[in-house]
Amino acid sequence: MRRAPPTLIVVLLVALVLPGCAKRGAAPEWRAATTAPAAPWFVERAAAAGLDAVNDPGPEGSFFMPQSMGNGAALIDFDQDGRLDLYLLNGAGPASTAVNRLLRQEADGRFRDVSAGSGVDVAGFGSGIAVGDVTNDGLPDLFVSEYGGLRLFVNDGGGRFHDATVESGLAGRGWGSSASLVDYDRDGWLDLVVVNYVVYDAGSICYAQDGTRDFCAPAEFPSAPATLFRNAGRGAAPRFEDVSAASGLAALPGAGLGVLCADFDGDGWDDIFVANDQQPNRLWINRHDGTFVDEAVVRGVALTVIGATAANMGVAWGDVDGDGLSDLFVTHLEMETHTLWKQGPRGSFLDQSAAAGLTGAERSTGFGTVLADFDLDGDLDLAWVNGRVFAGPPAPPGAVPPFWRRYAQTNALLENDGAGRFRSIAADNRAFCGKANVARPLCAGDLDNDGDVDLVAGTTAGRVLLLENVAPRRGHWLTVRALDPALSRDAIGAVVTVTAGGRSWQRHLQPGSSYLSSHDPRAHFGIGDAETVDAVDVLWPDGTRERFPGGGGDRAIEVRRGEGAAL
Amino acid sequence: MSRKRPRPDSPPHLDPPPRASGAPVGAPAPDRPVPSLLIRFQALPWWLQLAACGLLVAVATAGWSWLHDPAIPRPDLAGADPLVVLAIEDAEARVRSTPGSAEAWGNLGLVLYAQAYGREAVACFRRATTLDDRSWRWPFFAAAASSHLSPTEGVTLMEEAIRRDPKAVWPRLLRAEWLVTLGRGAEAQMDYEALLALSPDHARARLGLARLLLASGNGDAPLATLAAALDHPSTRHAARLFAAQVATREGNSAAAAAHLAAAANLPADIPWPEDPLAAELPLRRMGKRSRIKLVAQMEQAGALAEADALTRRIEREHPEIYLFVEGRLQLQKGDAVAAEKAFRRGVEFDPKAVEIRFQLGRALALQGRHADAAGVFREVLAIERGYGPAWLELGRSLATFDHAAAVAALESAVASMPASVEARQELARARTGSHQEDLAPPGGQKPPHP
Repeated sequence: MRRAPPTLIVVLLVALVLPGCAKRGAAPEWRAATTAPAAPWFVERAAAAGLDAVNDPGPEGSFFMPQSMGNGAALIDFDQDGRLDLYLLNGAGPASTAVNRLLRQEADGRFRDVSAGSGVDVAGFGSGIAVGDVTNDGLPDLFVSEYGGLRLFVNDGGGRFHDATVESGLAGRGWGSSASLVDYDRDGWLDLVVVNYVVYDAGSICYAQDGTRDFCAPAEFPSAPATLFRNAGRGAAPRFEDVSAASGLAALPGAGLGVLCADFDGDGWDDIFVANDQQPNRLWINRHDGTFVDEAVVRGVALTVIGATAANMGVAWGDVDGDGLSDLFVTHLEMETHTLWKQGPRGSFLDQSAAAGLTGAERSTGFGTVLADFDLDGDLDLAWVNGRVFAGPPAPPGAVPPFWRRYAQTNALLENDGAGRFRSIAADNRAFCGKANVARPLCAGDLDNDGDVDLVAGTTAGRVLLLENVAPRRGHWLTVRALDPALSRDAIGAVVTVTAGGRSWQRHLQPGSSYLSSHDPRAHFGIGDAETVDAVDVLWPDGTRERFPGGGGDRAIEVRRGEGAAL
Repeated sequence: MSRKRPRPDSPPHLDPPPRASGAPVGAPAPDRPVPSLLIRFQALPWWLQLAACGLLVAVATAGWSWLHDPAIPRPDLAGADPLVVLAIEDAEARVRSTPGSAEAWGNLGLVLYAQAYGREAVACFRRATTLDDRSWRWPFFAAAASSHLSPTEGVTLMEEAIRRDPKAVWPRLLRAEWLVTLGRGAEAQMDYEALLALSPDHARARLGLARLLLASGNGDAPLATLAAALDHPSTRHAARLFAAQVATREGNSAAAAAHLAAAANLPADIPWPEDPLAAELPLRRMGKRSRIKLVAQMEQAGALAEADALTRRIEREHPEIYLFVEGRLQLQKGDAVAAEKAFRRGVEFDPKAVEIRFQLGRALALQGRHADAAGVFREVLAIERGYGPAWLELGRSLATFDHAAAVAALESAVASMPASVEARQELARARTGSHQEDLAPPGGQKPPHP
């Protein structure tokens, strides 16, 4: 019996096997090789904490553009009991019953709805929130930007606020997005900057390229400039002057979404960064005389590394590589890259997103974002929330209401390797990153006062997410509240530097960043292996410096202006 | 956020990421049964072996064909404009009739991409690339379309375009820019330099290389590289600003100021010409809104003959849109009667079109037929209750004969469009003696929501 030549068998087998070896599409680039699953950093405990707030953006299918841009969220200890409370906006309009909600955190960590009768239980097309004491009475007040105007709620104590919008001169007509408080003129009174989006025509009907209805794009409408209000009040009755024109901010419109007030040029005065949608960003450098000049281009934060404009949205600020200079992170659309502009030399920035490992990261449309040391190892990690603004492939059923499925995406969480290079740890963090949502605001703060940074994310047409930090602790921590007794309030704008174990970390006290959000006003530090702190230095908003003694780690401290050693 | 966006691919994160590989515990050793099968196979008569192998080859061929069948990719067209669906179906039919035609596949890819079906378009361009192994355009289109989904994939695909025509400028230029974004500076620099070797004065490449050198920390090189970019009308403003950025980084504020002053004296840069893929898209955008926009763009650009041709095509293919445009034109001319006629015909063609019916109401109101106009505005609101402009116009019409109803309608207009000064002013006028209240920020009003 003759046998077939072995080569024939081999050839045939190879022919059979080859198709199976054909490359069937490489894995997405962002999927780095994974190792064994690590412990998650967050657990979602909104329901356990009694947080049942479901965002109401208004009726589905109207494609009313403010719906796609989201409604804000804020952490505010309005009753000054040492526990962060929540204020959440809705967007169903003034005619709806969906009022904004004030949720007080009780001693047991549960949240109780105290909206009714608080004075902030109003309905509107809610957008951004800024929190700060504009009356210098020791109680944080609330600003709300809306499609259609601004509101100021002055905290009267006892869980009551009164609407001081008209008497303070803040009545606006536009579409404010993110807002922040800043004492730009160093007079001791917090001023307000509101970035405005576009002059939206609610009668516009927009379509995707395939003819299906969709939300309008900002390019369909004229852009609006940012607004700067100077706090001219001196006491219980706040009064704001619109100094947008006089300060220079009104000169350059832009579809503003994010804002960050920080010292970008190293002169000790707070500047104003405005993240613009599909337009160059603006960096309004404070000229110390009440005026600002835009230096975004020359300082390198206007455009991406290839000189392109991008859809700039949420903003985070922090020193990601430990070189003593704060860096700027801005979220973008899914066909762009989220951008990290690293500072260096002081006052100049370069887009170093790729070097930081961010261009291979998950493609998503990002909004609220936070740089914080979640695992206490001494470097800043990165989180942002996602959700499209134009319809795309739908998320799995059940993730969000059916209408919003085509806008839902999962959130992102990245770990810093200590040198400013990030690695996605989304796969190990299903609580934050595993479920698609249409998230917009993202707030950070130590809600349970246990020494680590928790997160609160607002989702359009969804429940608020309360993400408790349960990350394995890789170090020690320190939380610093900086108070100015003369002003009876948190020293917003102060820069706190902690030195421990031969290293130092710097935080800028500015709760207003991210997107439509307000964070914990305290500075949180992960200090790695250091068990004790050598010193706490504070650069106060008026330019003076003090040193406070260190001490043990793993505690929350308060530093008061005038009680430290002058530097 | 640009509307000129490709429809994004399925979000990659919806799939669980791969876990560590490795055979599960207890899995049988894979090599044990194979020798016995081979031995048994070789024990068969040779002709049976050959027949079995033939059968296997046939099965394998069928399987290969099944796996690699150039099945026409079909996006989810639910809710899509009928013209879009029609255009895609036409292009699909062309592919079916000439499945071996790269042109047919490429055309389908272009039609799909123009309607923002990116993933499906890439599949078509890939097929065209396979069928036509000479043209650099197909792999270029595949790369450009996929770059929005994955720049890494775009870079890989562009390699083929460059291989096919190493002298083509666009493939190298785009790949260099993507590589910069991906942080692959050395490769990007090679592309830029190769491009500049071919075209030394390519301004965009010069500016791009200068930016790359700055990002790479390459000292004085960026300014020296700019050269032609400082003079080109599409880059000179940006190049001056970039030079100011470099000077600022170097602490040379005088030089920075000089560059800024030079930039201030320059007009805005003229947009760089569209890349070959983008240039193909406008005429392939089939949605009616896209076409109306295109007509306006053509008119603005002075391409009146092309605009006229496209208008006539719209008239033929989408009469209600033509009538809408025609009616608005008549309104602009002040001929409300002719406008009414056009809008009425438009409404007949598309009874649910809110905008056409709304314009019909306006045409009636302009003739002083306010009761008729109010009826039409109410019809609009029955279709879309939150349509703020209809509330405003309803209020205006009602104000001529029903004051209370007018106030209610205008309150709804203000609630729907709280940023509209016009709505507030109308409401203030309608509410005698309550102007101050009307100018206050919205709140406490109870009209319906858009």
